[in-house]
Amino acid sequence: MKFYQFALMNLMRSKSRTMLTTLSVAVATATLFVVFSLDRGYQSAVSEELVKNTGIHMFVTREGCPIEASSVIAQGGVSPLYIPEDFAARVKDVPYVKEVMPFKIYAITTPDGLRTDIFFGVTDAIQRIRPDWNLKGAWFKDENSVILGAEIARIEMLKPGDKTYIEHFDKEFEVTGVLEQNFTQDDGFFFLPLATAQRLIKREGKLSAIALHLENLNHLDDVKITLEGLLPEDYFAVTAKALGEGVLKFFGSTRAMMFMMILIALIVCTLGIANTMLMTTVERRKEFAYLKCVGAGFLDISRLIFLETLIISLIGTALGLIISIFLIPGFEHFIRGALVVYVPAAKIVRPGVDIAILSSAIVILVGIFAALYPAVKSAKIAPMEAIRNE
Amino acid sequence: MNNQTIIEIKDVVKIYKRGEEEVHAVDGIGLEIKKGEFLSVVGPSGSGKTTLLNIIGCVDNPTQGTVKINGQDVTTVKEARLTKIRRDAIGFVFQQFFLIPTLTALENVQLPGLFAKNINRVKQAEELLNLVGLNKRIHHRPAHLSGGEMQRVAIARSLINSPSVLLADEPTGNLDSKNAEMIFKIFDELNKNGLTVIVVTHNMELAKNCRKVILLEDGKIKNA
Ligand SMILES: Nc1ncnc2c1ncn2[C@@H]1O[C@H](COP(=O)(O)OP(=O)(O)O)[C@@H](O)[C@H]1O
Ligand SMILES: [Mg+2]
Repeated sequence: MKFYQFALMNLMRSKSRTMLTTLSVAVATATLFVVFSLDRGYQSAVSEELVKNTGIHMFVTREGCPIEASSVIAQGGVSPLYIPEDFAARVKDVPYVKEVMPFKIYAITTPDGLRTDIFFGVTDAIQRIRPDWNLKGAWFKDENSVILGAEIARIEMLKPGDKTYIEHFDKEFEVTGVLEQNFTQDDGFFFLPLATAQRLIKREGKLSAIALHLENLNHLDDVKITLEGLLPEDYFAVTAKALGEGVLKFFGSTRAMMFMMILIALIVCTLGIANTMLMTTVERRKEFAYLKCVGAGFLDISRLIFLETLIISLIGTALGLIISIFLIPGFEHFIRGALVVYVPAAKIVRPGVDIAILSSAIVILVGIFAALYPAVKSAKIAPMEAIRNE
Repeated sequence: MNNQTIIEIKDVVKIYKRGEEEVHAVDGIGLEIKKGEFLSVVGPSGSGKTTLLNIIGCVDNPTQGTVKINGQDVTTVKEARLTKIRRDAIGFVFQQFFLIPTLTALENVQLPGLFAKNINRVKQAEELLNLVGLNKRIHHRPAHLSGGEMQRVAIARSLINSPSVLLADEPTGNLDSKNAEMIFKIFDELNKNGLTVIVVTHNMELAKNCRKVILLEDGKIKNA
């Protein structure tokens, strides 16, 4: 018999209690894992959607609040405010501005509420701005052309040259091109010629925002200052970075709540382990005293308690990670509905091995910390206690 | 038989405080126990038998006097050293068996070996169970053993670290006379093989089997 086998046998004595404690460890691990995954995923998703890889350095928008602005700019959120199309030309002459892309973006849901599509009216500047915008097929031929995101093309089983009927507009379009998958929200978009997109919803000459690509990022502040001098007071020049940061700032309160959840989960777990180990200590008082009579020392008994805790913690964290993996798709869905802040189109819960290791390590350390007091208490039992019957 | 002294106690006094009152549980006892002795300690309840045995077993400290085990004074050493002495020199058997319910007889016997460095003592444990006549029961859990069998497992367990002395405190207190006799037979056999045995009992009949009997009363030795 090995030491760990003895520890394992001790845990088998009160199976239901061991199981419940293991479960509380599992819940704590799962909470940490899922929350950390969301925390990182959300930040990455926002950054990917608004800041990185978009080639867009700055937006001219009518919305002052970053959440509103992000929603209008990236997701076709509804706003009564718009930018007249002729502003695009005025912006183009600002020094250091290399590309200007006026655009109209909007989401339409079918009357039965089952399907929402996002339409993106663009000019050919998008081909020069977006580094990851790789077109298979051709650019728009005429006003009835459409370019599809990879995911839409896949679902609808369309390829360049096909005709497609779009029920929102009761109209047939020709698919001139399909984008290569780039794992951004592009994958789910319908791209239309700007004028077509405006006309279909009777918004001729009106833009959602203007996207700017600068010659280089050193002049970001200069451009911002020039633009603010040029534009009317209720127009805003926001950098993509500021937009992302603004969104993340709003996410901060959600984040604070999530970390409270983690804290509570960890406290419950600590108390659970401490309680379990204390109970076994009380129950096994005489036994520990006897073991001391036959030569077990302080270190032997405390080692036993730590080992028992470690076994519970290891099994619990493993269980917690397995539970999380099954839980995450549902959690992603739930949190999308529950988040009051800007919700990026890409996955916002992004688990990873590093997060799994971090979560497990925290829970195991907490477990060992919780066992500290019971271990010392058990190890200090005097051998005499085995003998006395008082 | 050689005449090596294993245990030597001198003028040992143990005083317990119960409120204002002082109880002299052991009141000036001197004793010398040689290797290979088979000693029984008898006396009425409360006469100090358990206290004396605990002091000999390094589980309790005397208030006064000295206790030497294998020549070493144990009243002045540190707890870590005492742990070692208890582990290597002393085997303990109690009225309660203190068997771990989830472990088999064999595993229970191996248990004290876990605390000594040499962990793998399966062979030895099997031999010891054989010695106490339980070779057919080594994989049974305590719940499937009779009281007498459990005490025999406990005896085997007390011997796993090859102690120089076996201390037993009322080992037959929970057993019927037939099982009690068997336990004493085992002690007798162990003693004949050279083990020093000290048994506390209040069963005079059984005590008579021992080569030496001391009678305690009020913490003092009545005979010699
Ligand atoms: N921990 C203790 N505190 C106070 N009194 C004790 C304690 N242990 C033993 N005693 C007292 O010491 C005396 C001797 O007890 P004990 O050695 O257990 O006797 P025996 O084993 O012969 O029955 C008794 O009067 C008992 O009440
Ligand atoms: Mg007693």
